[in-house]
Amino acid sequence: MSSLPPECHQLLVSGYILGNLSSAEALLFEEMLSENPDLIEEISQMQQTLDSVYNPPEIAPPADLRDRLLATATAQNTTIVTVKTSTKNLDTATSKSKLAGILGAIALFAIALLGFNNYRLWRIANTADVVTASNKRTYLLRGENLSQTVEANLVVSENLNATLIANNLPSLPPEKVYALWTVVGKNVPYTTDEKGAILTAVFQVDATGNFSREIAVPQPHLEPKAIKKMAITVEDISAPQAHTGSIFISTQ
Amino acid sequence: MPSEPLSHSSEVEPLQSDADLFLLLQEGQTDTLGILYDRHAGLIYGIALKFLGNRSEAEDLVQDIFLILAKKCSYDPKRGSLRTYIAILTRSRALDRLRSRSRKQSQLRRQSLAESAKVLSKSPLENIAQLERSQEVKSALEQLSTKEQEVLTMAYYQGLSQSEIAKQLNLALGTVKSRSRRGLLKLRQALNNIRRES
Repeated sequence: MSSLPPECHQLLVSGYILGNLSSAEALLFEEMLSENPDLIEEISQMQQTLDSVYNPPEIAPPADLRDRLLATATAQNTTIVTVKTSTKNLDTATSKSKLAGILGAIALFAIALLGFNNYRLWRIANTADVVTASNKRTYLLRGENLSQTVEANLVVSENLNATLIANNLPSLPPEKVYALWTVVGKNVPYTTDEKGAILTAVFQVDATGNFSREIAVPQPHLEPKAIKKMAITVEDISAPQAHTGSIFISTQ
Repeated sequence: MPSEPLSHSSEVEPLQSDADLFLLLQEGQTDTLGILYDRHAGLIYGIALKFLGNRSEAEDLVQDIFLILAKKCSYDPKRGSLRTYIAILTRSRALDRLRSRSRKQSQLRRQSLAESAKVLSKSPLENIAQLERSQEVKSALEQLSTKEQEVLTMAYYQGLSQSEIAKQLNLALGTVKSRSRRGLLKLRQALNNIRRES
């Protein structure tokens, strides 16, 4: 390596900063760096050159964004583990019983016929929990259809900021949306609809059935005892506030 | 794995490179995300805000970028710097959002095209230091050939792959690589010379 002309060193550094090293060059670069740790400074300068020419000045994000990000990442990490476990269990069960598989296929066909308004009829389980940790409160909305775990997490932090994460929800037709409701009941000092609920978020999942976004939650979340449950329904996109859909998943 | 340089505030974990932290993050150690955030959030937020012009959307994009890093992503720490990958990804996702907006509002579509065409635009809000820096950058860029500038812009600013650039410019892949690398090298030398003279 040390026999390489200086310009070759510099061009490799340049290639690394631009992200276009080939496999062979990557090995060479690694070897070069292990032999000469001082190159780190050169790499840093090259990166700063690229930054200063093509990037706008750095701007510090709002102070609370870091906490929100880490909360979301932690929640997603937990969610991924939960879903993986659930899938494994389902796979094992399926391999044990061919009959169950056949019944499952029949049931899935039935689901297709039932359509979106009848999700609640084929939901075979609905578990939920509310966890309070430090200044954050997590609502877990979970259920299972016949093939996979369906769930959503709402992590509420201070100042009515929250992160809503949904996993494995079925994709909806274009004219339908999921609606998240904060249910507080009637005769409470909050403005609710006829079902004692407050529309909290409206969303659609991506092609893989997932969704993640920061949302603002309504006033009752400042007094968590006022909240009877969190629920998700399927509504018409033109008027989700009408609250005509049945509960799809909810906390208990 | 190369020990990638510590791009920015490295006081927290001086021994861990971005590449090391990225690999730990991929293994599920989400606490490393905080260190990467401290190093690169300012860059991402700056780019996002410039493109989207909206604090809320920019914050949302910052979160998206870091969550992409936390999941499986295409970044290969052996072949390039994480900071470059992040910057390219941020611009790409910001443009996606602008395009998405533009589908709904034709007025914003024009804005999107204008934004994507901007490479080194100066905003009235930029401060004096930024204006001075822009003069340095402008002088440095003038020392590059048009072809070198073109390839660098396509590779880094527009985030095109080497093969895409080669196809668009009808060049051999090797030519694209060497031209972009030499271009960046010349930029660094030019900036160093300018700063030394001033």
